[in-house]
Amino acid sequence: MVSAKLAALILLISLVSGFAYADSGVEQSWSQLSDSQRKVLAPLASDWDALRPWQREKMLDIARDYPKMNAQRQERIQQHLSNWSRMTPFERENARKKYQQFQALPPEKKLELRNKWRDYQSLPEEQRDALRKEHPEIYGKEDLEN
Amino acid sequence: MKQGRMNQEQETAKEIIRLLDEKAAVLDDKIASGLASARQQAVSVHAQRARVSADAQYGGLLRLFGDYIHHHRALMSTVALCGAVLIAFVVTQQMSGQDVSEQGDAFLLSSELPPEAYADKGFDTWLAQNSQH
Amino acid sequence: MATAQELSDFLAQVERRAFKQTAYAVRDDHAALDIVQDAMLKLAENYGARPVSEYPMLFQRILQNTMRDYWRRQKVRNLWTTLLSSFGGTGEDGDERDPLETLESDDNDDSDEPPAQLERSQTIAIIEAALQKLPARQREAFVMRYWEEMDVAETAAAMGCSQGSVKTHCSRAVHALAIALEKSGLKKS
Repeated sequence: MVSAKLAALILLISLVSGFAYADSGVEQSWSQLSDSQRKVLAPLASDWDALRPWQREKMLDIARDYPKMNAQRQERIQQHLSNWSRMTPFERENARKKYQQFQALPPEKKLELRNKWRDYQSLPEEQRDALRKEHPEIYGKEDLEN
Repeated sequence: MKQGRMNQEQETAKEIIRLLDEKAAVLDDKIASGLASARQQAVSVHAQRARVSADAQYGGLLRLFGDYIHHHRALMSTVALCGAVLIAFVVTQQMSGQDVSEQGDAFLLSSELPPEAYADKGFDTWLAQNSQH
Repeated sequence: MATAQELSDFLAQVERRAFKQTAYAVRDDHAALDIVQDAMLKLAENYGARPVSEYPMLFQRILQNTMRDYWRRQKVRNLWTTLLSSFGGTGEDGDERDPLETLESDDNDDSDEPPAQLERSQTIAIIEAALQKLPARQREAFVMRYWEEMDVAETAAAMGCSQGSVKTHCSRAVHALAIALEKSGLKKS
């Protein structure tokens, strides 16, 4: 009897999670997307099928929100999609947090940060790489073990 | 013609691999020793497992497990209940989590800073070095 | 069944590449080391009874799964708060410094290298950056096929996809890396 209950529970769980999965579109191949989704996600056309399910997470939400935006914002989304698709879930979560902080800044600080980013971009790749490696005190070991 | 393209792909790949090998050969000491001690740990785990599996055959283990379930029905239903509660918790967590960030991604991607600026650790270091003094 | 010696030899042979490969994927050396350690233990714990010939494929699969789990439980850092508040001033100190100058003086290692060596390490840095930017599955396919020298069937088994997609991922990856390599060549001259 217990095992019957268990089986029912497992069935229920797999159904629920199955639906959630299908809904978020992570399992859909490029050809299964709708025309409007494909239009928004066009920069990813050749990569979509190579993306891991967790990289596709919330991508379709972007396609959903896209029509609500003005032309300038839409253009930026198109430019940024491809790099976004290559970021790890952790990097994305980090980016979301930082984006919120960025939004909360006064305009002159936003500008300052954008200028800093431009400076940083002008460094040779090797130096940027060295800077990335210099990061240990920020990502301490104790943070990685939780 | 297809063959030619394949060969070219392999040539390029080889060249890239040579560069990567060169880089992998000069690992940081800490990392090299971390890898070595992880390897030793894995090998000793492997040796332990080999001993255990020599003691108990697979079928015997399975039967043992079956008996265990049979005798612990009460325990199992408690486990099932806890499982259900946990899942309900996770599902609600996920749903509420989704709501918060859902809007974010489209807005984030349309922001003046490109997404990689938010995620690049080198940029973090860069900011730290150029702001503290 | 693999012997302890076989396991040890296998791990010793792949560990450096596994570390680099993971570091390209998670872009964090500390995390990469943790993940590789974890994957080694899982291989020893769960697959000790399998023949050593299956280890390359199994280990790759464990590595991919461990990375995924790692991302799921990764805590998010709230780093910019401190950084942003620190450069809030009117730019009297830090902002006036020439960023390039500061960096170069910090980075003395490179200046000791002979020019050819320097050029080569620049090329490597560009290739590594390009590799990190590849979609995950393209990078995985490339690493397994060309770095780990696994065949198409093994790679497909480790990735859980068809052999056809392995080939597609591979050639796209090589194409993207070749472009990066070419660009680095242009930079040199």
